Amino acid sequence: MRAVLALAVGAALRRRLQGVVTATVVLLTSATTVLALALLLASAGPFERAFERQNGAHATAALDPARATSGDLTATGSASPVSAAAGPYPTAEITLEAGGTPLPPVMAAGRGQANPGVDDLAVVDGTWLTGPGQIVLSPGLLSGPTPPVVGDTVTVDLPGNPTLTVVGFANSITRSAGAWVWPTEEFLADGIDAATGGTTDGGTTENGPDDGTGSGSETVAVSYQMLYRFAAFDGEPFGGDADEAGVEAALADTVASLPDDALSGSSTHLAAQRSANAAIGTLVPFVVAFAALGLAMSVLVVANVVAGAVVAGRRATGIQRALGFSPAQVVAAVVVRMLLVAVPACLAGVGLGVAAAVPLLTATASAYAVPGSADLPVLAPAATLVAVPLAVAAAALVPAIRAGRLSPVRALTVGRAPAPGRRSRPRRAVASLPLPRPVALGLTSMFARPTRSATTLVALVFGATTAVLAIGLASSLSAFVAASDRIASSPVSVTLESFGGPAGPGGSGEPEGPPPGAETGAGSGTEVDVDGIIATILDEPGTAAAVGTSDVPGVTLVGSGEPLGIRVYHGDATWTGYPILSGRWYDDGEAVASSRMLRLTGTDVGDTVTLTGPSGTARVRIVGEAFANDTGGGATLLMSAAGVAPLAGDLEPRSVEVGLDPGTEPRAYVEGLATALSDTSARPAATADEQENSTVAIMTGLIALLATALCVGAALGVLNTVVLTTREQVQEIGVLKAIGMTPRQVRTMVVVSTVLVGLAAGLVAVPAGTALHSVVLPAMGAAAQSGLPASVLDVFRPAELAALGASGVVLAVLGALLPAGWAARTRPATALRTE
Amino acid sequence: MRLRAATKRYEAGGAPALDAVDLTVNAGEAVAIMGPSGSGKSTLLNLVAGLDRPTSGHVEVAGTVLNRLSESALSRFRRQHVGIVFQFFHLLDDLSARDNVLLPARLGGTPPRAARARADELLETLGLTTRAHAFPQQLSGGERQRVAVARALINRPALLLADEPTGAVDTKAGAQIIDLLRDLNSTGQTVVLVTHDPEVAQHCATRTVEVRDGRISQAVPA
Ligand SMILES: Nc1ncnc2c1ncn2[C@@H]1O[C@H](COP(=O)(O)OP(=O)(O)O)[C@@H](O)[C@H]1O
Ligand SMILES: [Mg+2]
Repeated sequence: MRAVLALAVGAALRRRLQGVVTATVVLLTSATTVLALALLLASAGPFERAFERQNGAHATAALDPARATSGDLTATGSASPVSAAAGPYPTAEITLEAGGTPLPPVMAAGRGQANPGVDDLAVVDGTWLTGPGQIVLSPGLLSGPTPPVVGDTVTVDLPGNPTLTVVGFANSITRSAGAWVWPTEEFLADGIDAATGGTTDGGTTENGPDDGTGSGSETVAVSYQMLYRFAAFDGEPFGGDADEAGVEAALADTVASLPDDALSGSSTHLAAQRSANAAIGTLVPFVVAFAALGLAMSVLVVANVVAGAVVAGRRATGIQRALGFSPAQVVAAVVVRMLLVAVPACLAGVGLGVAAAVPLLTATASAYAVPGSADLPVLAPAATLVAVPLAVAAAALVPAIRAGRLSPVRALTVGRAPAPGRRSRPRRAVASLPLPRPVALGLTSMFARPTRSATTLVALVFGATTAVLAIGLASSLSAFVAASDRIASSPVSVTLESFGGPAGPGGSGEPEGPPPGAETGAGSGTEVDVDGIIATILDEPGTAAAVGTSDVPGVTLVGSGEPLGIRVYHGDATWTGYPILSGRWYDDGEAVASSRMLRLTGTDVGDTVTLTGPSGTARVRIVGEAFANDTGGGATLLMSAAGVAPLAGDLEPRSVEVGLDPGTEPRAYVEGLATALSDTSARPAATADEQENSTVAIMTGLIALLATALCVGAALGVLNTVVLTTREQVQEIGVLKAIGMTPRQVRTMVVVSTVLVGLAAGLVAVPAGTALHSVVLPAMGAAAQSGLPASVLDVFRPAELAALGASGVVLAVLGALLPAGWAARTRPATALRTE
Repeated sequence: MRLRAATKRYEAGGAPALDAVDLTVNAGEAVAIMGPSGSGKSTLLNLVAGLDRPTSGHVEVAGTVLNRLSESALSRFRRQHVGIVFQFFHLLDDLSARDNVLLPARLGGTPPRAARARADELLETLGLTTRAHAFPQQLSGGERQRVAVARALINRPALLLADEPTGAVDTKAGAQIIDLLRDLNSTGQTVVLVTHDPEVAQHCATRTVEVRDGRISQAVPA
């Protein structure tokens, strides 16, 4: 064994280039494998796993403080279906202002404990609350031009403008709330007092600005929140008998002791799962496709390189056999030699993979919007540490056994030039082609080792396919974002109010003017001079079109539980850039449905649906399907103001979408428009600024990362093959140089030997990559329950495809350049000095 | 062809394989370089052929000083001015005898017609016309070496170099090769030939140079 080890160490040290290539490939492979496994594990039911980890609530109940006391509610925690309960937490829908900018309205809960055993929160930044005056936000509020950070102060848009310090960011798996404050926070206590003092929920108060000291009449509507886990669903929350009706029945049992009507609203973990998975669904197939490709590629590249390295060592094994080593000892020496190189490289690669995986998983977790899944599953590095060396050993074993079995004499002669005679016919045919000699000779060497050429071909096909798919996916993602933002058609939007408007049903958020001192005689927010503002916008140079828009809450589709969003345009909106997937744009009394709306509600274009809203009911014909992804991504209808009037009465636009003349630069335009609108409450913003999609940026980065790793792997595979072949042909190259082949001709000859393989790889990879792309994207759409516009699906242009087809050649040439240079530089005398 | 103080060390600081050799060969000469194995004969020949560079000293062939040439220029020099015949033939297995002979011409861009005419003429001279389309494995040792000589001559080199040209063929074929080299020399071809066989030297050399431990120990006029 000593001898074997000494031999292996010596051989490993001597074959430096081979070692460097093998080590690099193993390192890259190990890192890619860790990343791919981590991604696969993170993509396997991220919501479901996070739900388990965070002890998600099966039911989130809103209860009326006027009908049930805190004590009554605590008592429900011991009802028979309940296995664990948390609450009651006072909750209120509030609007926060950070640095003068309003954030979207958010449900704030007064809660002292981050981890009460039900709906444990994952604090992703900063710390949890320690007392009043503090707030923890959900990271979803981080969008906008100046997102708040830990340490910032935010103002609650309530009388007295209470201020809170942001101490941290946390996620709730079932989205029980979007912000958390200390339970004794004054505005919540006032709200409870107001509710239990008998104040009825009278809707919005129509007073002017009230700067008084938050007296009883100006409180926010507060309700209690209870979070329950039910024994029946603890074991199998998403399979088996778990259904919406079961959860609702368990909740009804639980609150049976309370007065009727105490339960004002509820949601189930299954609904949360559905909405989370619809959002994640777009990303999962994409991540999985890439991870799987990465794994397959890794195996192939390692096998290719390792087997090649072993074959290159055949002569040495011949000498060992001649010296009296048994075949088993030869095999052992080869395998040990490969492992000596592979194990340290694998360790380093796993380290690299872990380092890269942490930010990647954080990004993935935030893309999946599930708390706490950023931890690297131990399985990923552990499995890699086992699997990669095993793969190396396995890849080394087969050729090693073959080498061990060879008679010493054969082993000494093979591994030089290929055995003459066999398979020489195609080589001779190619050699006699009327081509420049270096080209013809380069081509013959391709046929000298058909198996090796085939392995290289497969490695290149994978590499080039990945490149094609990567470019396609990246283009699709940016097209997806562009189609979602409608950036091309509607690059600027003007907010007509300084804050988010009335909260959901039951909310009585009183819009407050900008900081004291601003004269807002007209009661800001409610009576904006919309026509005047639109006129100003249309007068601004560069404006092509402008249309007022608003979102109508509280409209439901009769016969469907799916929450429905209605986007209303107060004027011609045909130019706003929603990709129409089928049908046509609406007229008054008709609607265009978002693709998701049709799928979630089982509606088809041409159907007439009944809608109920605050002002009444209307029958609306759906005349088109649009890709409408900027309206929260849910079930959305696009309608005219006149069409929506029977449902919601007369509406005022809340913002104005602006189309620009060609060549107008949005940012400069926004600056000019802001000046023109400076004495109104309207605020223009460029769409791109606000909706910069960090998820997509991260995903594009991920694509680039994996694609690069795979391409480098492919190029290294080629490098390895060419090094082997060149080594074998060193004498022949010496002869050619001796009879006058110039270094340039030598380089051409060596590079040409791979170009044809590269070309073939490109020819296979382009259709394979585009086919894969055309499978992955609809899968993404189907998972997200949405059709995709042609701009997202058809991203390949013929010129691009031709260029991509050349990518195989580029990879091949890159891989061959180094050994080609080496061959060109070798002194012929050195090359010829053999035996 | 002229060497002045040509020294070659394969390892820095090690014993020189060739130690400050001075040697001049005039056009039309046939010089045999003799000496025991490992004495530096091949090294000397490689320097003259431009296959390797001297560690120090001066190498001049056909008016060109090789020391200063780039790798590419050296390749072109070899193609134009020297023809080399190796002990082990070193023909390309995938090319027919004729294509092997043609190879240096085609690498140098000689017009195909002219190259083919020259190749056929050489093959005929060397008695290989019937074997023109055979591949090296189908040829005998002597035939292979004659193909190698034809390949060395295709570009009409000023200098023909041969390193142990008879070392790998049987006696009869060896005698043929010797006759061939002598005939070539008699038509004016300058020949430098490495051999350890005194008979070979005697038969075809006009002058013999003895190399021992990297130095020229004696120059014997034939
Ligand atoms: N490429 C080389 N690298 C290292 N040593 C060499 C090389 N070529 C020749 N030598 C050494 O130089 C000496 C002379 O070699 P060589 O010229 O081949 O001798 P000969 O042809 O007379 O047998 C020998 O000791 C040989 O080992
Ligand atoms: Mg020699």
